[in-house]
Amino acid sequence: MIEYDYLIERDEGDEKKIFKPNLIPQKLKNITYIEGPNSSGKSTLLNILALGFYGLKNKKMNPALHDKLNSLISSSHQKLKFCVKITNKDGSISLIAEKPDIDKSDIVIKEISDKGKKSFSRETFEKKYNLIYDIPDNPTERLSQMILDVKDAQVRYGHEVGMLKETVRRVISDIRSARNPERIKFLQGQLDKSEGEKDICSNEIEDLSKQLDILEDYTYCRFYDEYKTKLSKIESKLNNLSKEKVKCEKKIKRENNAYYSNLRIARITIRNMQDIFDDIGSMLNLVLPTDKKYLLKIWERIDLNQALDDLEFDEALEESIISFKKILNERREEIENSESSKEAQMCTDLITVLGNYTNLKLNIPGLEKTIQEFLQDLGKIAEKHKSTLKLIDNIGYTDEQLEKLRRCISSLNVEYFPTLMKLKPYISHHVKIDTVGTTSIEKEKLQGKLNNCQNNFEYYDAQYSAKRRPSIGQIESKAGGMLDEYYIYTEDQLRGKIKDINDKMNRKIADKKSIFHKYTSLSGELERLKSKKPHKYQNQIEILSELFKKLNQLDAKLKNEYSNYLAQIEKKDVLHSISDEQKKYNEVVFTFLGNKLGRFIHIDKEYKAIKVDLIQGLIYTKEKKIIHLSDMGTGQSQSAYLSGLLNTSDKRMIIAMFDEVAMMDNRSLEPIYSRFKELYEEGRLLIGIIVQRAEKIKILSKIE
Amino acid sequence: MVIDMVEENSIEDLFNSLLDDKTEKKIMKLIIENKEPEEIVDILVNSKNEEM
Repeated sequence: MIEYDYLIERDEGDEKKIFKPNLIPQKLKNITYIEGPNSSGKSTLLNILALGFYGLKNKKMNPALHDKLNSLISSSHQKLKFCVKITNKDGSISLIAEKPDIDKSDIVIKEISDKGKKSFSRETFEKKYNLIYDIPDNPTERLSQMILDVKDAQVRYGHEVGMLKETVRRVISDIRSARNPERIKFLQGQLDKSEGEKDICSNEIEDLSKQLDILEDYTYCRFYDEYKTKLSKIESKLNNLSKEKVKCEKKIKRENNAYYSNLRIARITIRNMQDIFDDIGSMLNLVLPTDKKYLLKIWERIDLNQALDDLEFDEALEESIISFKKILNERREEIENSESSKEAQMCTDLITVLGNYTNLKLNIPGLEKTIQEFLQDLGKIAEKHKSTLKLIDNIGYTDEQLEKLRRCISSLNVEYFPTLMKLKPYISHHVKIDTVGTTSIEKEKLQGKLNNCQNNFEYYDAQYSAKRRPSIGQIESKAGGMLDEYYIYTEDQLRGKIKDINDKMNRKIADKKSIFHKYTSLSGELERLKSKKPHKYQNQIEILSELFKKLNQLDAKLKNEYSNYLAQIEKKDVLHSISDEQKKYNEVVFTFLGNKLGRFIHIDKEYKAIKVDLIQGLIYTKEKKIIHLSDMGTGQSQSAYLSGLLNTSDKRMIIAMFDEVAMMDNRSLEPIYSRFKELYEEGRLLIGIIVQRAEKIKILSKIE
Repeated sequence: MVIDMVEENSIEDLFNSLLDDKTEKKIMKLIIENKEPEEIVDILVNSKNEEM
């Protein structure tokens, strides 16, 4: 029995119209033929039934019907609610599809049977029910689509094989995690091994730790002492350097003082000498004989100040002094020995003597002149020779000045210049800087060394202190010969060795942790396994593994191999060379399609198909007739096509609905009704409805 | 090439003809019969044990 009700609310712009079933009865027999005019609700009934049973997601459905279903449920201008109930032949199963809310898209599908009420997802629905809803348009072309049944089966069973594969994988995994004596034995073995590894690792860590302890004791003790000594030496050197620097600086100061003091005296002396020198120059101009005056040119070229830089006098100076002195002495001698000079000298001497007696009123005997008068006469004579006397005085004066100059030269040459000469190198500016600078650089270097040494010393001091400062004797006694190889090691080598041992020890500690984790995990797993019950397939793991392999192969065949072959049939690919496997596949599938097509009417005779070759477009019949699909009449093709759809190969319950079968006459429809009845009697057909357009409403039940 | 042609119109027969391996055939048969995966595993394991 088919029971249904629906309400469609359609917005037609000027009004909202409500559609409800009115021309077609709301209760129909399971196999029914309906004919009627347009808008009588016959197609709406089929569409609602299809919507209720996952028609929108049915991949085999004619696309034109898909569009109609979509328009019915998703149009913005209309809303729908419905309820359909189908009861099978013996009333043991009722299938209900309901869209209760006009504003919501939810559709609920339930099955009520003696086992109770059950809801369906699309997958579970399609597993049990087979919705066949079609318009047999372009039937010749669509005969080819009979292959969709094979495709659908391959996809569906491929999915099932996949699920079965997962189940077997899970069972295998469950067995492995269940109580398994062999696994327990294996784990116990692993646990024992792990325990052994743990002990070995612990011993190795202990050995390394001992080795490290001794090596650290030795290294810290040795370098604590070494750096202590080094530190003291560097400090001492640094002190010495500081003292040396101070000493050097003092020495420089002292040398500088002596130098500048001498230089000052020399400068003053030369300044005085310059006056004398200039005086001599002027005097020589007066007293030199004319023929010797050319010597003055040499004198004038002499630069006394140059001696301050050279720390010696121009050789021409001394030579000139000697030369001038000699010339002057010779000239003085010559003048002094002349009569005129003697006369003048005598007059002068007499004037000097008689000058003491000017107060005496005494006439000089023989002259009859008073002393006063005589002195006047003498004065007149002396006056006459005055220039000669002046010349002699000037020569004397010049000679004295020359002598003074010579003494100055001698004093500077003997006393000051040698001292200045000696001190000059030490007071040189560069030398001074260099001396102090070298000391400073050296001091800086030493300071760096000291800092470095201090750091190292502090490091070793802290380490040694942390080790409680054992004496070298104690360390050697504890090492018992272990240190022998390390006595020749340098500091870097020893510290490198300590680092190596440390690294090795850390690795071992990490290994130990990992072993411990493994051990804990193994014992946990062992405990867990021991507390578990054995799996019911405990001893079937090999069979299951074999089964898993088979499922893998089957999965690959369905999803890859067969799927590719089928795609080539669909595309009508005629390959020149195909594999034996593909040949076999094609033969089997074409034979399957022949059986699916079964009996059909062609022109005026009934035939039984034994093979449908979709690539060549040929139907092979039991009667040996080979019919081209393209030669079949439309109504007959429709009949053959619908028969094919009904000749399903699986055991699912069929919901069959065919619309617009206008090209089919009663003769063509008869095989469809026959097939409906057969299936209905077998309990495999839930409903079978055929709808055709006509002028008047006519409902025919095809079962009692 | 020897092919066991499909005599009856059933998917089970189709796969029976396509597949050569006995176990594969059995698996497909059970799947087509709509058996649950656990049930199929049970049947296959027991059948293997019986064979042995």
